[in-house]
Amino acid sequence: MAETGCKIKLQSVCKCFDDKCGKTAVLDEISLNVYENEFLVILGPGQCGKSVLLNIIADMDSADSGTVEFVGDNNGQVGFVFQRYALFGWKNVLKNVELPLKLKGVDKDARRAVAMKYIEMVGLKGFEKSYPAQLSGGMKQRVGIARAYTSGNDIILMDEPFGALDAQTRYQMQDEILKIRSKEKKTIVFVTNNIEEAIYLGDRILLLSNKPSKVMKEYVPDLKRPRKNTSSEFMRLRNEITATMDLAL
Amino acid sequence: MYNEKKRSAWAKLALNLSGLVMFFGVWELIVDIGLISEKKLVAPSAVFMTFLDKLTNVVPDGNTIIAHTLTSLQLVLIGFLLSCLIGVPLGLLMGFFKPAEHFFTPIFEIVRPIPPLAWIPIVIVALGIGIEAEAFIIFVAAFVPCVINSYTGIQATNKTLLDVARTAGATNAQLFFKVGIPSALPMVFTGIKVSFGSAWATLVAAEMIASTVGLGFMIQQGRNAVRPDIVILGMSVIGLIGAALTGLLSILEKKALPWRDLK
Amino acid sequence: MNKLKKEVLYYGLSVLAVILVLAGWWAAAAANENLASPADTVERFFRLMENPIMGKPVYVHVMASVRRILVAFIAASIVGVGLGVCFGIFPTFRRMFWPVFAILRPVPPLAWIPIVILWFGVVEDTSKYIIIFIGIVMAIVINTYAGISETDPLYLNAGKALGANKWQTLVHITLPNSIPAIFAGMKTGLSTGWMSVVAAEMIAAKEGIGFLINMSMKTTPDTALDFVGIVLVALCSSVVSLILTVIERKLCPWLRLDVK
Repeated sequence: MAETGCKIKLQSVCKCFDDKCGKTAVLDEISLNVYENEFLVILGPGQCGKSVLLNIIADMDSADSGTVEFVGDNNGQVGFVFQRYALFGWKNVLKNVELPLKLKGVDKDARRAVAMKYIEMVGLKGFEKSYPAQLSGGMKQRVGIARAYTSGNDIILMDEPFGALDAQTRYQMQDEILKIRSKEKKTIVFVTNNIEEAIYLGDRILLLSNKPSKVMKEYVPDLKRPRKNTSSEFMRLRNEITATMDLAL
Repeated sequence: MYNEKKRSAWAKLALNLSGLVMFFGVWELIVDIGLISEKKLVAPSAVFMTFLDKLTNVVPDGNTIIAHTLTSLQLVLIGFLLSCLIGVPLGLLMGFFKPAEHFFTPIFEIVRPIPPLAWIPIVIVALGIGIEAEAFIIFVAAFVPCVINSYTGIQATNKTLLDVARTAGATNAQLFFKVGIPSALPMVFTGIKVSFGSAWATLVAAEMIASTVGLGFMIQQGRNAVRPDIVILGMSVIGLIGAALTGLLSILEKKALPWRDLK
Repeated sequence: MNKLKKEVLYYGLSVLAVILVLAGWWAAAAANENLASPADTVERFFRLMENPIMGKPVYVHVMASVRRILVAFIAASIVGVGLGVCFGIFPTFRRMFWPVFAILRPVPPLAWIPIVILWFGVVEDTSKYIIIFIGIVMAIVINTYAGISETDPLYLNAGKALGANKWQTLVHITLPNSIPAIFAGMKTGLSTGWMSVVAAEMIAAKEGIGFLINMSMKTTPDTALDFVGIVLVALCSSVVSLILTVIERKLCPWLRLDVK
């Protein structure tokens, strides 16, 4: 495990939403650490508030109480990969990917070079001039990942990034993300509701309960990569997590 | 990102009012201190006095404001209701049945780009100056949005719904009445609202060009007599009635389409 | 074969419709001696080419109308998008001035004609530009504001995650996202604009298509001249709309993509 240092510290984060039936507690005293260069998976049932948690870390939403602290010189800037891609339909692939650098005022040649590097890394060379509407779901999310990497932040948050893809593409993208990570180390926080995906990808898995969410349990899969979902350890871990989740329901 | 900072209800109300107060305040002030000649603009307070006066006074346009308003309302309702009665069914038919679409689209496309006011000289020759001529102009103005929106609305009927009904054995007429029309209703209402706006605007202009009574005639006479108070009074009444009737249509729409805007 | 039959039938229906319209026009003209027939109209058009009205050949009248609407349209686009953006991104501005806009909005553009003429007179073109401007600008303000305020929060979040500030969010996200709505507003505005051109020229002008239409009512009715005016307006407004559509397509290639 690469626990060289703590990157993000969450302490007792709480969040409620107002709705018709009054206040609904979504996050209940969530405390967790994210360590440098780890692949942390946050696993939980649908609608449990894992995305809200990620939005709070990314400062797109605010916690009612509790603190989010970034350790080191990172001032809270993170890369973000959205489930619904969030690609700008009016910009082609290249312009989408280079946008974070453009916003920082990086000059054209420099940002093109970086963007091209990541477009190549996600396997989209030759599609720079395509518009998002011309790409398949898997390709769109590759653009999303390239854009998050281009931002240059060493923490990347992924909010169910493969949730909208078909099963086949989903497996491909899981391998793709591991391949990308092997080329360039990043701290990744990955949210999913898919147990197999969590075990396949995660260095560490935090299991959240149903609303109001708490951290129920932590798993550190001791499986060699590439992991096989048919191996007995994989299945044992899957059954264990399933049992814990069912128990909580 | 563009959401408002948290403000109390009072602060919001105060901001809302401040704009209006500023608008009317500046208006009143520039007239009162004589920045603008009374021949061009009169203060809001003077407009209100003119309103009270025009309730009984028939100078300079020959009628009280009540008579002008009633004439305009009567005309707009005739033209507008006629256009709904003809335009909505026509749009629905054109959008649902291919032969109807092919027959009516060319006729409609010929009429559509003609500004309604351009009909005035022809209509006067054909129908003479009078209520029929004006009602016809308003009808033409209100007709186009009715047709376009009903047509687009019914064309966008969900194909799956049609298939479901078809497999359940619905006839063409049943598809039209039970699936097509209900799913087109929101657009039909949009069209009706647009067409009312169009009818009201056209009415005012038609009355300015060819009429001897009505709010449009009143403001035109106000201009000829260099009476800005009457012109602005007329504009205010026109705006108020337009807003009130549009509001009424929105309420009708909510009642007729309770499933809309549910969240 | 069946499909071909249908196509022929539909085509036939369309042709039949146009013939019926022309026949109806002819019949009406035959019944009313003051009403011009299609043939009279064509003849009147050629007579108009030779005999100028008010000393101006017909193309001068057409160009006068086109010039008025173009100038007013460009001004209204700049002001309308600007105001719409301000309403969209400055909540305080919106709170203060939306009510003012809301009470002016229900006053139809054509109802402004008398007061604008009182203010700016009939002689100069200023009053015509202002009337047409009012006709166009409302729809653009409303659509721009709607486009900006209805931007998918997902896009705004993405902008935030990528580190965009308020200004950058506007330039890279909300404005481009609102382009279709803005163009829709421009098209609505243009049709109101043509209406205003005709009305303003009918009421107070010495040249323009609306002026020609108004001339047809003077002295002895000259409905053929009105028909000529109608055809000219319809043609001009179609051409202007077409140009706007072409610009929209050039400006927004992503809106016309075949999704793979």
